[in-house]
Amino acid sequence: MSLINRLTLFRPIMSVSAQRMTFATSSVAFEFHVLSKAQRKIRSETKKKQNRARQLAKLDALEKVDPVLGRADNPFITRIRAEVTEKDVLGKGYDFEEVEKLIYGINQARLSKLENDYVRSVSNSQTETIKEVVIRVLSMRNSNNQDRKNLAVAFARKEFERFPGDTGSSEVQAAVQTLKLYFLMDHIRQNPKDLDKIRNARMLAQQRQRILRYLKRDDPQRYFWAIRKLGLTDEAVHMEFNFDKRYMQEYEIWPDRVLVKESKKQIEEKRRERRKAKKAMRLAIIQDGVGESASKTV
Amino acid sequence: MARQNFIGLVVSQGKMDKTVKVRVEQMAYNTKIHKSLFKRKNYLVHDEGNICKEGDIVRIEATRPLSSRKHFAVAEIKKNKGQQFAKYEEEATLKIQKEEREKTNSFLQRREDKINQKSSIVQDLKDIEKLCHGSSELTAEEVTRITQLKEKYGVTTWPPNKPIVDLDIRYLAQKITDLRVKISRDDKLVELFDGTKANEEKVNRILAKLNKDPTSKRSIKKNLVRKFLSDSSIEDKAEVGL
Repeated sequence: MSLINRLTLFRPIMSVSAQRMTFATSSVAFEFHVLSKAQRKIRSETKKKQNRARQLAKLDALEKVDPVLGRADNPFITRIRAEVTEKDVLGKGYDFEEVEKLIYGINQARLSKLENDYVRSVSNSQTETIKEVVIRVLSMRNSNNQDRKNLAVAFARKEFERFPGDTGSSEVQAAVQTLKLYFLMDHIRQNPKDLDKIRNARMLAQQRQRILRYLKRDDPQRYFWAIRKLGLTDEAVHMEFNFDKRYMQEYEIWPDRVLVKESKKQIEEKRRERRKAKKAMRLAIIQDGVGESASKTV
Repeated sequence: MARQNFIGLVVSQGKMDKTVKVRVEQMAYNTKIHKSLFKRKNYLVHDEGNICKEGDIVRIEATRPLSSRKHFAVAEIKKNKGQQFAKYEEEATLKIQKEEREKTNSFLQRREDKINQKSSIVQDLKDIEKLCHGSSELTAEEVTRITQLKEKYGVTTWPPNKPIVDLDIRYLAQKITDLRVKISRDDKLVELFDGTKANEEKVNRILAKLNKDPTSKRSIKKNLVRKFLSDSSIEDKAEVGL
C-alpha cells in the first residue's frame, strides 16, 4: 500500500452514499471517498491495535512498587545502611570519640601516680593495645543484628521526628516499622521456613499501612513527604495486602522457588497476551514512523 | 425541565482523555423490604480541561449524549481534595530529591573528613604532652603549632591542673551527686517533722522568716520547708539554726 493510500485510511467519513465529493471551506479543501468493506476492516483493525498499544504503554508507565520494601533504590535506606556499617561506629550506644577520650584519661590517671620516661613509654604502648582491643570488642562489625537494627532505627527516628525526642508521631512509627521490615525481610530471605517471621512481617506491613492511612487523614502534606521518603506509593498504602505467595513470587523473595503454579491454560493465555502486546507495540512504532515522515513532507 | 444534577466523588481519572468516573450515592426506597437503602452508581463524566483528580467531590450535570456511556459533565468542583493531594505529592517528590541529595553529600563529606582528620582532642593533648616532656623529635614548626594548641586549651603545666575535656561519663557522676544532695535534704525534712519540741521551734522560725502562717496544715508547712531547704542560701539556713 502506498503512503498516500495509508494516509487516506484515517480520514473521517462523512457520507457513505456520495462516491467522491470535494468541498472547500475558506482555506482548506477536504476530500472524501467511500471505503470498500475490506478497507474498512483493515482500518478498524489497525485502530484497535493502536488502542491496545496505547493502553499497554500506559500500563508500562505505571510504577510497580513493592508494598513492603518500596522502591528498589531508595536513597534514604541506602544512606542509613551506610551509616550503620561505617568503620568507627560502635555498638550498644557507645561513641568512638568518647571511648578514645576515656582510655586516654585512664592512661593519664595512671601516669599521674608514677612518672618517669620508662614508665611513660611502657604505659603508652599498653594503652594503645587496650584501645585497639576495646574498640574491636565494641565495634558494630562484631556486634549482633539486634544492635545494628537499633542503631538504624535511631537514625531513622532522628530524620523523621517532629521535635527532638519525638518517638510517637505517625511518620516516626512508619519509619521505624520500615526499618524493621528491611531487617525482617533479610532474615526471611535466608530462612524460608521461618513462618513465624513471615507472619510478623505481614502484621508489621499491615500496621504500617494503617498508620499511614491515618496520617493521610490527619496531615496529608506530611503523609506524602513520608511515603516518598520511605519509597512507598499511595497505592501501596491503600491496597489490600496479605503477604501471600503471589506477592512473594512476584517480587522474588526466593528467586529459585516456584510458589504459585499456574495451569497450562493460564500459561498459554499469558503467552498469547504477550505476543499480542508485542505485535501491537511494533505496529504502533511503524505507525508513528509513517505519521512523522508524512508530517515532514507536508 | 430542570437538568439532572448529582454530587459525587471522582473515583477514577487519567484512564480516558477528558473523562472521569464519578460515584454518586443516593438513598433509594426498597419496596420489598420497605426500607431506604444506599444506592451507588458510577457515571462517566465529561471533564473538558482534565482538571479533576481522584478524591475530588464534584457536582455533575446532564448534557446531550457525548458518547455511548457519557451524558454528564462536571459542573462544579465542590472540594478539591484530590487536586490538593496531587499537588502535595508533586511537592514532596521535589523536596525529597533535594533533601536526599544534601544529606547524602553531607554524609560523604563527614566520611571524608574522618579519613583526612589530623587533629582531634586526644591527638592535640598527646602533642602537648610531648612538648611538655621536652621531646627532641619536634621540628620548629610543630613547636609553634603546639604552643598555639596550648593556648587554645589553656594548658600551662603538665599534667594540667584543671579538666580540659568534658566526658559523657561525667553526666552519671553529676547525677549521683545530685541524688545524694536530694536524699540528705529529705532526711533533714523528715527530722524537722519528727514532732520534738526543738524541731517544731525550728519549723516555726522558718515559717516566720517566710512570713507564712504557722497554724496552717502540716502538709502545707512541709512543702514550704522543703522549698526553703532547697532554695535558700547557707546564711539563711544558719539564721534559723540549721
